[in-house]
Amino acid sequence: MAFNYTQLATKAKQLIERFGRAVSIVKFDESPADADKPWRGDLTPRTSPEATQAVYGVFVEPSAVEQLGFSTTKPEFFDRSTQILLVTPGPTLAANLEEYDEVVDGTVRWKITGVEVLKPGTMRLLYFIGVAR
Amino acid sequence: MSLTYEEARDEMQVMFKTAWDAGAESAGIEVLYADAKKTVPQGNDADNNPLPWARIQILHNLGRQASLSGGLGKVRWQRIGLVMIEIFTPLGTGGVLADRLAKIANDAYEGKKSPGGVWFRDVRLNEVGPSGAWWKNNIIAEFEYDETK
Repeated sequence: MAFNYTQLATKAKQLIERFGRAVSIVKFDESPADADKPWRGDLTPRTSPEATQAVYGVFVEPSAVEQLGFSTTKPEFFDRSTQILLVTPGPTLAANLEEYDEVVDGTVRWKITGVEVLKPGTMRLLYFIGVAR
Repeated sequence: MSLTYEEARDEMQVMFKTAWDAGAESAGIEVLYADAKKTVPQGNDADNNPLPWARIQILHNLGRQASLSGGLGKVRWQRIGLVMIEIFTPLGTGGVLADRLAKIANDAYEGKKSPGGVWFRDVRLNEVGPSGAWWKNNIIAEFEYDETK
């Protein structure tokens, strides 16, 4: 029988909410302003994003994440990131944060440079979101 | 004829889009443009192959003064660069679609000139090979145009 990760996901979410802070994670709208010139994109992607997720996260230095035991086969993940944001979706957040573009932390907007996911079963337990200005 | 960066970029991409949208095999296949938010297609087709897609980039790399000033004090400034179209088709499907899409992208530029005066030369196919779940073909076209100011 498959392991039930719900309790673990709930506990992880509680810990991040206790030690982290509220941030928003934003996915830009992909619709171009001019359908005849899609290469110009959406001129105001931050004004009306496709989706915004309000979550809690913990910012840590990339070196600190490695000390926590996280490793990746992609060294550029650390090279491109000024900070790593740890986010737990908990058992209920269905959105896939790997498709998102920016993290809004108060007045600061961080570009998402890469995302790694801890997903041993069917449920995402923890996101490692690399961000940079 | 004179083109700004923006005008030239528009003309080159209109040429590609017109050919791509008109192609029997290419119409409806997603195209990603540089700095326009678009996610690589994640779905599969009816045969469970990953969906094909393409990406176009216009890359300026040289610029120089191409004339002395005339009586009006205007000078011709030459812009030179590459159009690169990366075409991704499902890996393991024999390369037929890859070649057909490459031909459509190739023919968008080979022997052509844009209305505002962008010239293309040395249009060619470079087979890159497997890239993730796709086979990758690159079409590269060298371009040249002038801005008079």
